Amino acid sequence: MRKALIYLALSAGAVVFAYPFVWMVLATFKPEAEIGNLSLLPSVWTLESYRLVFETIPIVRAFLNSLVVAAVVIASVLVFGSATAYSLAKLRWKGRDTVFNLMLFTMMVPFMVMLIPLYTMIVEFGWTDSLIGLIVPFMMNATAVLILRQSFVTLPTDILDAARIDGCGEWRILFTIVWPLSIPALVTAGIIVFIGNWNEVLWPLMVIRNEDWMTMPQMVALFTVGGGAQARLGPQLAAAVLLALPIAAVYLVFQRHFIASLASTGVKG
Amino acid sequence: MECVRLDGVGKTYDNGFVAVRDADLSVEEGEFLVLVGPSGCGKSTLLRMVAGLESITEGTLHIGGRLVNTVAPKDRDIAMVFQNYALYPHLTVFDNMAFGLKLRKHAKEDIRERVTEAAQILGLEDILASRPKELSGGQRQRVAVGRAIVRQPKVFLFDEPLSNLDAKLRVQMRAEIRALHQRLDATMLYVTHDQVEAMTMGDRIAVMRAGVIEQLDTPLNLYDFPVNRFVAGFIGSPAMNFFEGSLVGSSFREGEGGAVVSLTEAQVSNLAAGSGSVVLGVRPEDVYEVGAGAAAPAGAVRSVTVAPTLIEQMGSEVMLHASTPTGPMVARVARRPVLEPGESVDLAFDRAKLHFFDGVTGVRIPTGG
Ligand SMILES: Nc1ncnc2c1ncn2[C@@H]1O[C@H](COP(=O)(O)OP(=O)(O)OP(=O)(O)O)[C@@H](O)[C@H]1O
Ligand SMILES: [Mg+2]
Repeated sequence: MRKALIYLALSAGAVVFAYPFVWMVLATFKPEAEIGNLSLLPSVWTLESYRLVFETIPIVRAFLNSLVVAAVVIASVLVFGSATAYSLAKLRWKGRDTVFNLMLFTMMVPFMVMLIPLYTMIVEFGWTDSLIGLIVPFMMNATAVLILRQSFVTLPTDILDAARIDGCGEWRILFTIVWPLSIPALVTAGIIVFIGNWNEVLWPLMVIRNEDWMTMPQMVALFTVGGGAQARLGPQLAAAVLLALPIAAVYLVFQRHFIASLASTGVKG
Repeated sequence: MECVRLDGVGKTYDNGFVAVRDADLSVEEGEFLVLVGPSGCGKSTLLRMVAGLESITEGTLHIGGRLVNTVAPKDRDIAMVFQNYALYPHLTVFDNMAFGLKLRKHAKEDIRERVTEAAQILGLEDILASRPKELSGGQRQRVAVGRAIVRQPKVFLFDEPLSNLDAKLRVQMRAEIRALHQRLDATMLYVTHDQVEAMTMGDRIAVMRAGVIEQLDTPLNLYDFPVNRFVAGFIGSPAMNFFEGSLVGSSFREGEGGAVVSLTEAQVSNLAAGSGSVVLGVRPEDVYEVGAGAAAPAGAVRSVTVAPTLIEQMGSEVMLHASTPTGPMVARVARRPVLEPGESVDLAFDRAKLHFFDGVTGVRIPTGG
């Protein structure tokens, strides 16, 4: 009896959370006129909203831009971030703990604080209106370093010593010993970086004016808020669904890792 | 020929802690040298300096005649076996052993040959495809040894390789490693805190205390001629008995109610030259029960009367635990009917087997046998 009540409450909660999302996805398949009412299912299924999105804005190009930026950023964070994390976790050098504390401190500083100095630098370097301007500021990520470091410190140091005697340099130890033993942490760090990067709107709005180099969230934001959709709800919702698609895909693929790591590290992006 | 030589090697950690002080040590080619000492005395630090895993802050280290102070571990021609095995968890047994050879760009055929041979020697043929977590402790340790021998290094370094195994397996692996040493004609430097392991395995033993090598000698010389009270007490089980006292006339006297041992002329004249306070050492097996019938050697003289507090029947012999004014003592005496609690016994010490140490410095006082 008690159990039944709990299930009931949980189901109700799930409906409350899921309803808007389900409604949104289904609404994109409705004709524009039908969107206003609260019925879930469209009376006629149509791709009109999507057609409008693809016709009005270069969303494929924006998708590719975002993809390139995210891929390079993730690769960079995993390589350089894990090197940093390895050094902080397993190498002995003067000032290591100070550096680690400084890094933790930078995590507390809101991105807003760095926005203006960062922007000035990018302008100085002439990196506005280019993907480089979107990539370079995010090539390192303190949260990812922290996640990786916490995982690396648990590796037995003797294994690393054995590898040193067997003939590994530190980079090779990182990639042939540490990486294969830290896959969950690498996946978690990768996902957190991906989600953060994929959803970033503010920074692209600052450094990109040329439509050719816009990222997907930027373009979708401009399209929905900036009037590109001419106040039609259908295309706005369709663009939002397209934007969420990669996140949903990543989530589905790595679901298990993600839940486990959120639960274990207690760190959020 | 010397294979490893340390001259005045010292280690000061970054926090200022001096873990090893002025260590002189040489390991001969083909020798099995054991480093033994209590926990925290710096054995691992010393071994890790030889391996190159810890920087040497003082002195020089030569391996095979080459100065290697600043040479990377992989270029020192050494292999090491760790206490926790330190196998690569994500690799199979085969790949664990082959890892170092692959990095050194050995031909595939050569790698297969060497790994197979090592697997045969160590009885690992059937588990080459397993991963470390599927193996028992003994098997893991064999794989760790296998990983070392496939490399055919100039020196093998062992850091307490057996301390994670159960007692029975430990005895067996001890013998196996000794046999391996003979078979490979290898040079081995072996760290342990277990003096029994040291005595049974080492060609020579270096006894360390608080970062200092106290004595380096063969097992029997360590046992018979310990250079100081620490070494005397560390080597041997049960440990040597010590009596603190002084030379009075021609006898050693512990004090009121304690041991009184009449000494030989040679012993008296050597002790008389000393500072006054003397520590007498006698091993449990050099103590005999007076009048118990069992043949005591000619040198045995009645020395002390004690009331045993604990009597351990070992079957072939009896361990008597008692206390004397300056500390506990243990006697290993011939088998006899059970004592009544509180009954006292007269014990004789073998005069030819007595050890004397300076009461202040603990240094051995030679007494000419
Ligand atoms: N990185 C370090 N920094 C400072 N002190 C250290 C460091 N590593 C070890 N020590 C200290 O050096 C001393 C010797 O350590 P070591 O590991 O060599 O001892 P050990 O003889 O191998 O002991 P055990 O039998 O416990 O393995 C210890 O007191 C230890 O606390
Ligand atoms: Mg140790």
